Amino acid sequence: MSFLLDAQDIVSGYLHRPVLHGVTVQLAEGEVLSVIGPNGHGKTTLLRTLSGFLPFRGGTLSLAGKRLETSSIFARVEAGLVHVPQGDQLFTEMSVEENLLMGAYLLPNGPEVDRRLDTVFTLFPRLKDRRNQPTNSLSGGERRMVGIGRGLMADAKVLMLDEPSLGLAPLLIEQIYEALRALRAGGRSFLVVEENPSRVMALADRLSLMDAGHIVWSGTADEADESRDIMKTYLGGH
Amino acid sequence: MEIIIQIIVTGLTMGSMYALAAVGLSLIYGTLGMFNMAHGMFMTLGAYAVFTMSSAIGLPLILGIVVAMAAGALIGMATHLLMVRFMLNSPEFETNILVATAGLAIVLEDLVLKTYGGYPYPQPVRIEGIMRIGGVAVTYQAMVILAVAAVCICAVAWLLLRTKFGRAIRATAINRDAAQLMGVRTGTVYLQVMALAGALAGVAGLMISTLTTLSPQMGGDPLLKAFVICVVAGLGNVWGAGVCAFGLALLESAIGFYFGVRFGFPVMLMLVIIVLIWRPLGLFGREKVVRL
Repeated sequence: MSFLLDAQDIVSGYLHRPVLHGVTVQLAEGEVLSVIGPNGHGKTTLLRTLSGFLPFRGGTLSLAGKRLETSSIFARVEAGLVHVPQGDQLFTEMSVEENLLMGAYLLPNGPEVDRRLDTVFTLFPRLKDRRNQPTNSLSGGERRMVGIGRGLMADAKVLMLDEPSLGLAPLLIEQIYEALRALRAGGRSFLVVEENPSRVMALADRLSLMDAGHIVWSGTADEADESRDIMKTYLGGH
Repeated sequence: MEIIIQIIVTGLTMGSMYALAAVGLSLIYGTLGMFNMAHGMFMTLGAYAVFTMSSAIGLPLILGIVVAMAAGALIGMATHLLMVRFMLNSPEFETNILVATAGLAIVLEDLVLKTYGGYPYPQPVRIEGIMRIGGVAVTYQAMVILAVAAVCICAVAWLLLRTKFGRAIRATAINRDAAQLMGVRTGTVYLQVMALAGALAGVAGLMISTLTTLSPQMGGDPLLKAFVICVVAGLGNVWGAGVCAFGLALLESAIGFYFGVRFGFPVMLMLVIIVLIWRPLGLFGREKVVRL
């Protein structure tokens, strides 16, 4: 089987502290993969390595057959690997619309950008009302919507979302996940990293459990249901 | 009434030159987090480039402006390519680059001194003649300076606020990592910002040299004033720098007129101290507040 995103045996980390020890993640076209695991075990490091902020010390990365492990961040974005980082990372003094337009930075201005903007506003109608508002005046949930919307504006083959529900109230988490389900139904391929698997179980086609920089278990949501003992061991009763 | 017109004309002329210098300095600080101590030398080199070209082949004003901007842009780009980019990721970048650009300024000043000597040449590219406004004599050159500054500052504002290029600069200034994730080549943005700020400095140098004379040290005083303006405005605040340039120049002009020119700058500095006690981040500086 050929994968859209194929990252094998990744070794990575910070300076002299290795974090990932031979991690493999593979994602087929139109598939949703969720990497779950406790805090501080390498999930964010995995996404930062895939997007190019951290170098590959070992392993390979290819997207739609194109090798990218030594490529720059820019080249990876240009190839269609788009990372929505943890904690929003918005352009705080810029308006909602300007933030979203930054997501489509590599596209030429024109009807395609307008169409994508409409898609994001359809998915998150609240953002349309606040399109001219600076993002530092938005609530946490709205900022998360801008972050995800900005990722959707890009020409992403694979969207990588880092803890989209982190720090949000249950109602807002539901809204965010409703949008993600809509994206999944539209055939988008994405990789979601979450600490709490309960939300992603209903969204992801497959789950991978990360512990201490290793993938210790992989399977479908149904298989995860049957493997509650494993989940309990690593995630403490989720 | 004539006195007030005189103060306004002088203030606006000085303010135009300060604004050209301060906006570039602020743009660099806002984007790269770098205080460019060589910015004054960018001005000097812009002025000398026009002087050299004009002495050799003769230049009309408009071409003089183009040459000054090109020279400033080139030295800005060279500074980035040969020095800044190698230091950008160093842990003490802000301190290191301050020292490095101060060193660069000294080297460039010595080179200018060696090449042209210390003789205060007049700038050949300027417009002679005066007109009268409400009984006050205003030189055509002052009008040119005002017009050039207005066009340059409006162009920078348009570029930053209305174009994709400007959006990329602002995004990089706010959050470099996030800008990279959008596909912005931040290294190229830094190069472009250095070129843009250099071009503004070049034209500022040309304008200053048309009112005074050329000398290797001519950029020192405007650099100091541009720095004061940037601090009063709030470091990195481009719009604030433009506004404060005119405000402080009008104040300096008024003080110079009523109490003597030598009091203009000291009073300006006292005002800076008061402003910084009252608002430590400057008049237009804001703490990064994010709603929780």
